[in-house]
Amino acid sequence: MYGWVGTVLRVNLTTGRITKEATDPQDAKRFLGARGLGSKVFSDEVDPKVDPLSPENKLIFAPGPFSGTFAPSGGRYEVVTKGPLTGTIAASNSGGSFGPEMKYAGYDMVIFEGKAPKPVYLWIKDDKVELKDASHIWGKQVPNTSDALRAETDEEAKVACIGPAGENMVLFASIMNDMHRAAGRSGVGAVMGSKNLKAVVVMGTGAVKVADPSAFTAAVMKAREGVKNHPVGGAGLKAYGTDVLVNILNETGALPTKNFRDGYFPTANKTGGESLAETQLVRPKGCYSCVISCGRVTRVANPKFASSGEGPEYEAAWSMGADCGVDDLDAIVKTNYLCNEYGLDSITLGATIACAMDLFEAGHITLKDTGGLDLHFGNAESLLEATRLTGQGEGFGKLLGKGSYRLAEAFGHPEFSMSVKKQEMPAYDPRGVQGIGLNYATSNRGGCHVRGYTISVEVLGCGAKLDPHVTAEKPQWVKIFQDLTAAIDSSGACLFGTFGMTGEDFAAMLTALTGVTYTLDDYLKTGERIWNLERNFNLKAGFTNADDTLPERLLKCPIATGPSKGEVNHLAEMLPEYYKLRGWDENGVPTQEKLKDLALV
Amino acid sequence: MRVKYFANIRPLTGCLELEWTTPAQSLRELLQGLAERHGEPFRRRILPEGRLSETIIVLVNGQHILHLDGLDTRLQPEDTISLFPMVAGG
Amino acid sequence: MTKVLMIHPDKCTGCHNCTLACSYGHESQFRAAATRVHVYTWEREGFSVPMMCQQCDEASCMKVCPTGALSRAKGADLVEYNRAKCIGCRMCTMACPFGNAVYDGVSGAILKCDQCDGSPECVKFCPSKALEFIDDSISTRSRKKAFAAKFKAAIQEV
Repeated sequence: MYGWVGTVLRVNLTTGRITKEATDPQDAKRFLGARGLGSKVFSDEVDPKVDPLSPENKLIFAPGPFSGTFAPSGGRYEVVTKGPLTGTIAASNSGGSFGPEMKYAGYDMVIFEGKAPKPVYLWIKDDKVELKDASHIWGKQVPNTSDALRAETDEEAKVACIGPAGENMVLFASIMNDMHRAAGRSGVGAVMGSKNLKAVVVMGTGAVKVADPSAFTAAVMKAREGVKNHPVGGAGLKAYGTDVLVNILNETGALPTKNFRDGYFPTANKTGGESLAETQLVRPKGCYSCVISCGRVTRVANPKFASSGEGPEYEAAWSMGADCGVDDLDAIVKTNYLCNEYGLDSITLGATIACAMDLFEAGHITLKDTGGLDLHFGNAESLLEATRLTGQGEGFGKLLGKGSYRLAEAFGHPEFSMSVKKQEMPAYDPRGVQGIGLNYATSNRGGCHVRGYTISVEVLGCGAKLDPHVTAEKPQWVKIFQDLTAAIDSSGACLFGTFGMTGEDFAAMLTALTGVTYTLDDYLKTGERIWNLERNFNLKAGFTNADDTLPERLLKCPIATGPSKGEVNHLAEMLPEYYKLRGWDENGVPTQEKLKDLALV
Repeated sequence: MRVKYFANIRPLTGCLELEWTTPAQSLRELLQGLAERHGEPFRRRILPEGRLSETIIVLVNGQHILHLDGLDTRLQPEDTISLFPMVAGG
Repeated sequence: MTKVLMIHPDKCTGCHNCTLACSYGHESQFRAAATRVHVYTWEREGFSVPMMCQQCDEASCMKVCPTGALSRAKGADLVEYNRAKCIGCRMCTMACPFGNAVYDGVSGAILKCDQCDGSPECVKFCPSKALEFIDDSISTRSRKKAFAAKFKAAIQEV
């Protein structure tokens, strides 16, 4: 095979049996790899009603066809499972060098089944694969885990692992690779912890073959030029990182503030990418095959929070910043380090603490509940301590570790949770940006921006320039973004490649690489097929159109201050049209006709 | 009027924001006035050949000027004008 | 005038486009293990350094090669590798003080930078200008000047 490397590894953790299978070329063609192919195999093999933290759930690591090649920013891998935070199918992707190394070792996918009787890690060195004891590493944070595993395998090995949060089955635990990169959302790390699987360590010396080398080079060079000449992909992200978005979202009046009580944070500038570049940034960093370098190597000099590491991204700087009413960037950067070290999703972590602060200020929880932790908005020390407690699974942290929905529900006020399908929404207020609200409501993994990033056209003016405050045309944009993103994710590419690359670029690279012809239409249709596959899984898991909604606060309580003052989200104006465009019935169920059209029946 | 600068516009102006008191009827007038003050690098970045650069985002009171009247957008003394380069992330 | 491959670790983002381009340029496939340029990353510090054959004036790899498989044309800068003459003894890999000559178990050949016949792929694909292919005489000028600027700033502060 070209692009794909041809082998799927299956590891039964209960029995310790390790087997190899051929990658199905028909499935690969129709679902690409990573999120798509992983979801196809997952939904074929796993009962949608499975308890996510039971041995019957499976956990799939899958790079995409681009991973391991120099397709620009194309080195990602995906973790597919049923997410314990949401109960939906979960697919979380990550950059770094772990995904490409899986390909070099010869695997398009590793499927974990069952549950190991004691802590283990998987050591893959090309075709030699073994489960090894991890009892002595259990309990260690991510950096120490990574170092320890390299010391006992190979100093150049790539490590994907969980920290204490995953071990403690925090419902939003991440899987970390390359020490600082995260498959962050939906609690994929908790599933890994539930299986007693501490890490996957991989070394590979094999090759990814290319069907048409000269065409591939030409397509890659064209795509690279596109990124290089784009103001965002070419220079903006490298200079300021994703955190540059704080100010523009705030100036637009769509920076959710204090658990979405407001959409404007007066001191936001102190937490933005400009401030980060001035104060904490050491140097930009790129993932494997990246041409953008949005990664931030950072250091905090302030003795109170002194430390070093990577990040934060915009979403983290927002969740720990504006959403918690905190404008101390040193504290935010330090909190982000803690997330990476414990293995916590930085979006849900910050947003859950914001929810706790909201409940605290409303008097629904007290110092007695929090074990003495003062959770007023803006308290940076408490933000840090709450994060530590969550990572350690201590005291009030145990409750925080269940995410904002279960936390708020435990105190009788689930409406305080700013989540969709129990996953916290990220840093764009749907009251100030209408289309992103529809994307949140319909996203197949709950509150999430990277399933359909309409912010590009609604706020940033990349690709098209739509008025964020109107609902017209938004359903079709949401659908296109969701489908294209599904295809990009499934190729193993980074979404940020779209800041310069076109759908045609992706399709051309994929064609030359794999030898399978993809037009832009084929590529988008592949994305649509993957979207419908995920939707079907969720419907069978018990979700209905009633779950395609937003928290009441966003539908009924207008933004209080700033440029979007007085706005609410008008989801009801958009949802029926969206279903129609998708070829779904009025209940949001894909019609037989649509499924046939996508060859899903 | 309050004028705010962000990202790599800031090094061109040497400030985060300023109060603009010279009367300006339209955004065009304001930007020309700002170009006078900040000099040639700023003018080239914002108004190359007298037209608004395609890689600049201008908000008036949080509204993108493309959804207002572009450079002809009328201004009031209490308005806030924000200037960004094209940025993104996520 | 000869050209050298200049490394600027301060600009390296650790993206590995150079290693990908190198292996692909030589084999038309992506076998990272076949790269002639290596990027070492210190994960904790987030620091990466690309390494490759320095084409040493006093090339110890050349000196220890018993068959003349490593040689330098008169007046040239490049240490050339002749696969046909190589007996796979790996003396060069032991002699190179930088570890920049590597034995490849898959092809049975020595992997060392050949500067891609004067147009290095790694340089072409580096998105950060951390690798440059420039005239020998000016290769260190920018570095000297950068240091001089620091010196100047320090003195002016006093």
